[in-house]
Amino acid sequence: MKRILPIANAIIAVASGLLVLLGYFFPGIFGGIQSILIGWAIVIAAFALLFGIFNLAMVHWKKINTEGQNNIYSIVLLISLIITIVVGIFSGPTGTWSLWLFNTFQVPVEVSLLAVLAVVLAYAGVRLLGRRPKWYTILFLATVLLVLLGSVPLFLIGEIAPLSALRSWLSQVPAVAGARGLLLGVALGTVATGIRILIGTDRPYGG
Amino acid sequence: MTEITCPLCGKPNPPDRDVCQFCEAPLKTSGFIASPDDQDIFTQIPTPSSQPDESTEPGDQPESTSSLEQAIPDWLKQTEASFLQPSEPESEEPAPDHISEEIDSLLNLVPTPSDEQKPAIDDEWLASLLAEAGVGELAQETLAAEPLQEAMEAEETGEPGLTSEELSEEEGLLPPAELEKPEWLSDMEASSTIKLEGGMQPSESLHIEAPAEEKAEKKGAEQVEVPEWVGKTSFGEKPPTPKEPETPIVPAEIPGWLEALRPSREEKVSPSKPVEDISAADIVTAGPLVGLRGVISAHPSAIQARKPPTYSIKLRVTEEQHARVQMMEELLAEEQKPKPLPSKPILTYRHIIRLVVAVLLILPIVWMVVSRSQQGPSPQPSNVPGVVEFAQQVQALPAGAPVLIAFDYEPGFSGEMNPAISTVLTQLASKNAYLSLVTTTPSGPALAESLMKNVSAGALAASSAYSNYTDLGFIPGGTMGLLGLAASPRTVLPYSLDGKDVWASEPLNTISSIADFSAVIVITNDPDTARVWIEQVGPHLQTQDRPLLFITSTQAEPLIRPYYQAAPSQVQGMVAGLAGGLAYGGTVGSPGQNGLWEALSISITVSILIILIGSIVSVVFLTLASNKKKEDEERP
Amino acid sequence: MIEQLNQLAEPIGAIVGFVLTLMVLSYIIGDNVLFRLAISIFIGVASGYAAILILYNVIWNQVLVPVYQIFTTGKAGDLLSYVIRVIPAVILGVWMMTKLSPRLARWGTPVLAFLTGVGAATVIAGAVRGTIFPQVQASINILNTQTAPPELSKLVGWFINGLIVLVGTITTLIYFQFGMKRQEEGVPAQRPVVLDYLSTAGQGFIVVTLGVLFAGVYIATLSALIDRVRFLWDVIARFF
Repeated sequence: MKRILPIANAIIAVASGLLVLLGYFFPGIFGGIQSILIGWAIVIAAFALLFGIFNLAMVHWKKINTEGQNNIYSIVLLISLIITIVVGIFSGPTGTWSLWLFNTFQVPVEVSLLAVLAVVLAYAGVRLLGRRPKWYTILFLATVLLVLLGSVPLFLIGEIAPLSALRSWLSQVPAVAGARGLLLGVALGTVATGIRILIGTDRPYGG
Repeated sequence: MTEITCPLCGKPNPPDRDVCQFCEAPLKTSGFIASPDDQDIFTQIPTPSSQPDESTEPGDQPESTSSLEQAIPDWLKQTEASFLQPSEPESEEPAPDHISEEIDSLLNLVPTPSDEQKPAIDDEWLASLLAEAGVGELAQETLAAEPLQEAMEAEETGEPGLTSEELSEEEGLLPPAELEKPEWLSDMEASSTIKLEGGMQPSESLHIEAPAEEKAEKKGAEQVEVPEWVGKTSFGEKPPTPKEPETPIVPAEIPGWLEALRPSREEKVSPSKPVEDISAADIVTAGPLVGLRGVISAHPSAIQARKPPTYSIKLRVTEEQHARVQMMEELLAEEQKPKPLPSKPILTYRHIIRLVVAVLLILPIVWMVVSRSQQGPSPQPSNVPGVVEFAQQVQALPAGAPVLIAFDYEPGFSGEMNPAISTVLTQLASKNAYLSLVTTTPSGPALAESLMKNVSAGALAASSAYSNYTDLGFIPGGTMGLLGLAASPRTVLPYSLDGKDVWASEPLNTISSIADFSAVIVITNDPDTARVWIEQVGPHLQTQDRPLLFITSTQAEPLIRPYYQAAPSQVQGMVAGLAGGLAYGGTVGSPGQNGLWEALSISITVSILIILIGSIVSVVFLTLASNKKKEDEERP
Repeated sequence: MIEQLNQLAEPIGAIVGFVLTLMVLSYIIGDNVLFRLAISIFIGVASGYAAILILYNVIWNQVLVPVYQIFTTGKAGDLLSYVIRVIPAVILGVWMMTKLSPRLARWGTPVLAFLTGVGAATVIAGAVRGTIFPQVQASINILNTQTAPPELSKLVGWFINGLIVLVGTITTLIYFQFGMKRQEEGVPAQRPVVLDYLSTAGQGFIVVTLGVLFAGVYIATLSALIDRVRFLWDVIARFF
């Protein structure tokens, strides 16, 4: 069984991938099978998300059992989780109380986290030249400052046309070149990794 | 009955046992266990003086079926045979066990060479024996070596016999015998007398015998009480002559080489002195070699049959080793314990700088928000790429057109993107477009519902909420979900989030694939999500020339721009960030954002100053530090 | 009671949001108990909402409601479609529960293998026909004379920009190539000098792109900071 299971897993991965891929090239013949397999994958992904949340609850439940009342964070997390689920079951995902919970707890915290990030990024910009700067560090900082200068009209100064034009040029020419190269590189790497999975060389699912 | 003492372990055993019940040693030695019929042998023992020349004929072989007979040395057998010749039944027959013990004592006792009288007696007896055996006469001065030779011969034949050491020991043990009786016989009588009393141990017998022998030696000739069966035979008497002349022993034909080995009569074979002086050695007190000196100890404690010692498998650990083991265990336990992190100070240099930066950033914003000043105009659509095309695409939508809107952004970016989203939704609502809301993130439906309510309440200022939309819900699976949505939306989302079959009614009843929507607007802050939408949904839309529009954050705009600037374009319109939203609002005549743009302006200005000044200060400090380091290195 | 509760919901929500915002902003000073409590509440609410969404959107709408619909409408085609599309997926989804147990985890691997295979095929097709082909075509067409502006002044700018984009794209791709030709023993492997220079140029383009990205992220976070400051001020102004 120890030998059969890994081989069976590889066969399942390769077969399902090939069927989906063939649906792109021969939609008339394999389109239906592709649609069925995609439908199964969507439902399984939903179950995976559900089990992930269940596992999160179990982990924190075990933490509470082992550490007791010392771990107040796990207690707070589980209480908020249970309350949200109970309210959501009765109110629905778009019900009044569900939206109230969402807008009262989730939105302020997420926006505030991003606001803290602004301070952290500014501090990082200050410290950027604190270490031995190299040519790409200086180029990076110069690009950041130019883009910021050209994004908005400066306070008490107003919009500086050359800076705005430079900012536009930076965003539309060199940045696009680099971004296109990055996207192509990512796509090529994705294709290579996918092909490795489809030929059974890579088995990220284990076994 | 008298118990038999085991010669090996010294423990008492019942008389009827042949082997010891403790150590299983034979209790009755071979060759000396005389059956009742054979006990006449001992009554026929002739004295050596009485028969100097008579040759003893080997009498009838003693009838003994015992296996112990095989252990009897030949010379002794011959001796027995000679004793058997005019056999006269003895009146008394001592008990077999006594006989065996006496035989033991006979074996142990050797005539001492120092006794001149004894050799005189023994020599003749021995000579007669030897003559019978065909060995030849030996000189009287060499007769002291006879026992040694006989012992050696017995050893060669493998028979238990007397070694030279034993012989010499015996010689030392034997008290000076009477002129008529040999010492060994006297000792035998003495030992038998003692053992008859039943209180003697073999180990003790010899000790008792030894002093007895010593006393006898000291006293000289002494009358010793002789057992009856011995007494009947006087050593001074001549051995009984055989009634019938016995056929003489025909000497065997000796091979030439053996003949050559025979010592000549002229040669004086003097007995070699013992290699080792065993006169001071311990006397064996138990076992078959009782009375001998220099014997490898057969003490029960030495060769006592016992179970092999059981060694404990428990490791013997000394105190020092134990202490070292404890130390190692403590070291390993410390390694596994999580070490407490060193307490960090509450305020460090970094905390202070970060606090200063935060204050410098927040204060201008607070001032701008509080003052609500609107100093500058909003950004122009022409200055923001993609806004104009976006507006044109939306303007080109027919009234009531089904539009698919994907809410795939995080709530954290709502502050930046909500102005643009609200403006777009307001414009679409004004065109009475049928909005189908989908999402691939769990927070999408809540964001969509909240925004739709805000749009209905604020932007539209309508008496009733805008209802020309449906929330199709959440699509799990990421890339796979989008592929399924692109191929067949009603299969992936058969019902709306509130459980209605929206595909059965207008206008969605005409929708079979995603390309049937008039436009697809994706709202996302993540460049990867945007890329997946472009890769999976874009090709389907391009077949029908449907626009794919994006409302995105400033952070994702650089990575969506290559798709927007491609030829043919994969993204037909893009509204990015706060600037894009304000610029788009300017195209549709939407009012300003209540100081948002000004707050952003002042915050960016302050940020630039912070970064510039901070960078200059950092470079200065770095330069000073490196110079100081160089000076320190240059110093001797 | 419910109406009073509805009326109180909005101010209570504002106050709770106010407190939570301050708790999270306290991270500027440093990590503390208030920040961790706020994060714990956020994770609990977000996870609970996601669970509700899946229960409604997938389990209820796609698994249970169709059963009711089939029994009420009695359409065989719907039943067949349900049996083919939904039941195997539910079985596989429940089968995947074995992954939660360490002892039975390996028995759930086939389901993950299926997901991985389908996902790999999906991203391959999307990358090829959604990114590689169109972007390569865009790079080829960037100097397409048919798209050139008619004005000479703009033509020069168009050509230079196009050339920069093309060179930038190629040098960026060269930067990510780390292969080298095998040398003799003892000789360290080195890239050809030309490739080395091109790679450095590509690194420059990447640095510019990352700088633009960083600026965009910073502007987005500043927008969030402005939004929070406005929210705090609005609450203070409302209640104080």
